[in-house]
Amino acid sequence: MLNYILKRFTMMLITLFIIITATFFLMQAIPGGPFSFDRVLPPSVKEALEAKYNLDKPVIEQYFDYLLGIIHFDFGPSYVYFGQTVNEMMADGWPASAKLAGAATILIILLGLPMGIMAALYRNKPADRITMVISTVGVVVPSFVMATFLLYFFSIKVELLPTFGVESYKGYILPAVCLAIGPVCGIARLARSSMLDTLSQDYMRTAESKGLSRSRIIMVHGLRNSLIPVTTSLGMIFAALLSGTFVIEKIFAVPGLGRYFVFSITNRDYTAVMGLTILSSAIMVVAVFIIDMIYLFIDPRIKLYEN
Amino acid sequence: MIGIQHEQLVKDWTPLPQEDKYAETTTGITLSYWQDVRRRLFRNKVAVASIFVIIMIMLASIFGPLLTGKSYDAQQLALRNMPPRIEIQTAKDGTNFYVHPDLKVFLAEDNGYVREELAPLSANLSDKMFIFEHNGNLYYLSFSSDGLKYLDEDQQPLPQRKTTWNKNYLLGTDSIGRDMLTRLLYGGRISLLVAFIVTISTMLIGVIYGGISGYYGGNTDILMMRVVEILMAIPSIIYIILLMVYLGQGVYNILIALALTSWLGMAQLVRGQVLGLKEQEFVLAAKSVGISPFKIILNHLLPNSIGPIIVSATLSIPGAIAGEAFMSFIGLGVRPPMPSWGILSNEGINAIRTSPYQILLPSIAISLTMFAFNFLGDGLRDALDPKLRV
Repeated sequence: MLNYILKRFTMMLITLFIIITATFFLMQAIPGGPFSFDRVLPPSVKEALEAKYNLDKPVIEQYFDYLLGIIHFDFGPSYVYFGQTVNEMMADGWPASAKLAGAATILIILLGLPMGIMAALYRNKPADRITMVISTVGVVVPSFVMATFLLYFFSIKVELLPTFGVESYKGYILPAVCLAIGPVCGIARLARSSMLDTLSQDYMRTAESKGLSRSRIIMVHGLRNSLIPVTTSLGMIFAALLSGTFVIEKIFAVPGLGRYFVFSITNRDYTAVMGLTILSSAIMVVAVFIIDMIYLFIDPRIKLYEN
Repeated sequence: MIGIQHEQLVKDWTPLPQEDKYAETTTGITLSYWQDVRRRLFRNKVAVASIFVIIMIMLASIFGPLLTGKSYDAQQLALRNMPPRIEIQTAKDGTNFYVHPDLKVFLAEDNGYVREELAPLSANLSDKMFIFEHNGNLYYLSFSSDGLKYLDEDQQPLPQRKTTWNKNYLLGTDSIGRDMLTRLLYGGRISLLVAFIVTISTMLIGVIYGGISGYYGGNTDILMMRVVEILMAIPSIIYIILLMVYLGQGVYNILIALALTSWLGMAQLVRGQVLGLKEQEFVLAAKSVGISPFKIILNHLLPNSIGPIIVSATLSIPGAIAGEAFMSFIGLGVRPPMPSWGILSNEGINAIRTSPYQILLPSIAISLTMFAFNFLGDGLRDALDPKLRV
């Protein structure tokens, strides 16, 4: 078991290292430095700027400086907004994004799993059919397209919810729903098929013939086993949440990390792009690591295989 | 005696009619694997409908932009933000007007053609109205808090009003007066082109990489699959964004970025297939007569695993469409003024309140295409391997 955890942990570190390295050198390779504006700077000013940000050093030295900075959680200054550091941007965008992602995660757990399990238990009944139709729509339609439809109906046709901004809790409802809708439907479909699979297993019949109550069979024997494939796909769900935040925050003008990311891309703010890329990949990679650990508890067989 | 028996027999046993000749045969018409797949696919109504929709969308994107008679980047600033449905108001003297929500008044025709814009004669800002003059008659455009009203000289609403299709621009115009229909169709061209090319390159890279990895096995396989695993751990959207920032905007660049990031799943799939097949006797036979590994993979292993590859490719088309749309939407995809469905969504989202059709049209196009390809992919999967059906 320790072996398994160590292996996953090393894997996580290697992935992070590769991401940081690839990000750094890709950004270095972009033609034109951070100070090649439309308006050409006088050479002396440019030299001074480059000296200030250590850009006159050899690339390899800059790379190690950057690595060292990241270990201390220092992502350097922004090259577009002078006087602002990337850390400040992150600190600024963090709360809104966290609230949004948190709300979406709660929705995913509270809606996705029960929807899928209900659909499996009432297989081929109207409840199942309706769930499947809804979840197909939710899985197929991309999050930003879904967001435009929901925005149009709930904010413009019905005027129930604000179109943008997060001044009150109401502002979070639509973005969180749009962010969660794809993952909710994905989880519901997965939970349904995996629950159906579990229900047809022999041990379920054994449990039934032992005279256990139906709720105990489903909650104890069914749920835990059917959660295994669902847990595996949580990584994909996190990826969907992550890419969702970029567009959802842009559409609903939520002042979060995703919007900063899109802004820094359009403004060609390279240090900010680098920092936010690394931060979001790190969140993602750590999430996958945590999922692997959860997996260990849900599926004890892993311990056996690893030994 | 014998004669009687024979006659009796003839009476009891009459020959069967010709069409019942094969009634006792238990085998039906023999179908090859692919004939069987086709039969199962065409029996699936949703899949057939999807094929129909896909063909329609493709024909519309290929030939549509040629038929609209407009170009995707020609601007008509005077006629910007024209909705697809317009309300024509007719005055007492028979003049037709179209009142645009941006406080503009156009001369129009009864059948839905919008002509030139009327310049206001004067503005009465204290009463919140513009005064227009046409053919010696005065008209008032009042924009007070209880809505936009167009009144004639007697301060009465015009007697006749009817809603009709915008004949100049069937689906309206965008915020700088470009024809939405042409842009939508041309955008479909770009989006579908990106999707198909990305899928084909995904297949090529995935098949070569997965084929080599699976066929050679051993350390080669471990190394190659470790690389795939690590790349898979990085959220693909992150490195598509990085690649796009590096390459810059443009159709070719989005092709490269998407193709470079979407082959991982295909490689794993092909490797799994090849791994399962390579121990079989026909591969051994091929090896023993000295066929090169490349030819074994190409001629023996791939044809036997083509089913899952086709399904996976079909299902990756909507992924590529969504990927392109996503990148264009956050400003990293196709370079304007070239339209793609993502670009159109990006441009339309700002006008969602005033001109909702600008965002709804590309959204509908994206959703429809995504549905069609997903349902076709599901149908193909069921048809190719009925056992897989969940």
